[in-house]
Amino acid sequence: MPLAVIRRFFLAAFVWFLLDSTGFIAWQAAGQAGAESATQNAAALLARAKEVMGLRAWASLLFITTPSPQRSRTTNRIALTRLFFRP
Amino acid sequence: MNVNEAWFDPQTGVDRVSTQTTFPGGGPFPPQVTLRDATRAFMQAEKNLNPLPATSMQSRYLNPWAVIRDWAAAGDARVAGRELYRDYMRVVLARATPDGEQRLFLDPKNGFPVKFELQEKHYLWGSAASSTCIRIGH
Repeated sequence: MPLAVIRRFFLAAFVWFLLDSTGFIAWQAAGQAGAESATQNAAALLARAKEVMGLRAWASLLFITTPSPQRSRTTNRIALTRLFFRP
Repeated sequence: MNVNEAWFDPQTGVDRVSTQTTFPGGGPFPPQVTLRDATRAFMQAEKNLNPLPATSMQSRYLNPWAVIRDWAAAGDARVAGRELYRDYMRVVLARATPDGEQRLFLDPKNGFPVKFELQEKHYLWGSAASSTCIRIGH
């Protein structure tokens, strides 16, 4: 294999490594900044989770699981097949 | 085969699970009814409620609505940091319970719970030798 091809290969690999490292560092920095701003208050996070999941005091939730032969093999999961909000 | 019907009341945090079993050629048998709140579980036997062991609470942790409601009502959750789970950084909340520490992973973008984690004591050795990870969302 010509030496020029090998050089190009390693040069491309080095450039890819630099770009990937830069992206990873930026991603980590963004994650840390987001963590500090978004997780100041656990109660606020839980309140937000309640909101996005539609958890209201006036509603009752009904889950129905239909007969599932796979259930015995996946004992740590329950298939929620239907969800009703009932005022 | 089991047919389950579960009701959850967000106001009180009580859920009621009715399980009716059918075998090929037999049944359906009378449904077994369990009632649980954030800390206790009972089995309904005619007009009585018999207490169930703490392990009966584990299936409640599969219900993200119940988990969120319990954690919000308890008010003792704290932010434990951020961890990578399923390729994305998640906000981790932690809570100390008599059975050990529980952790709840929330998606920081939309707030949805994505994972519930607890330390389960080994049935024989007693120490927290194993952990149970339950995925409660995608």
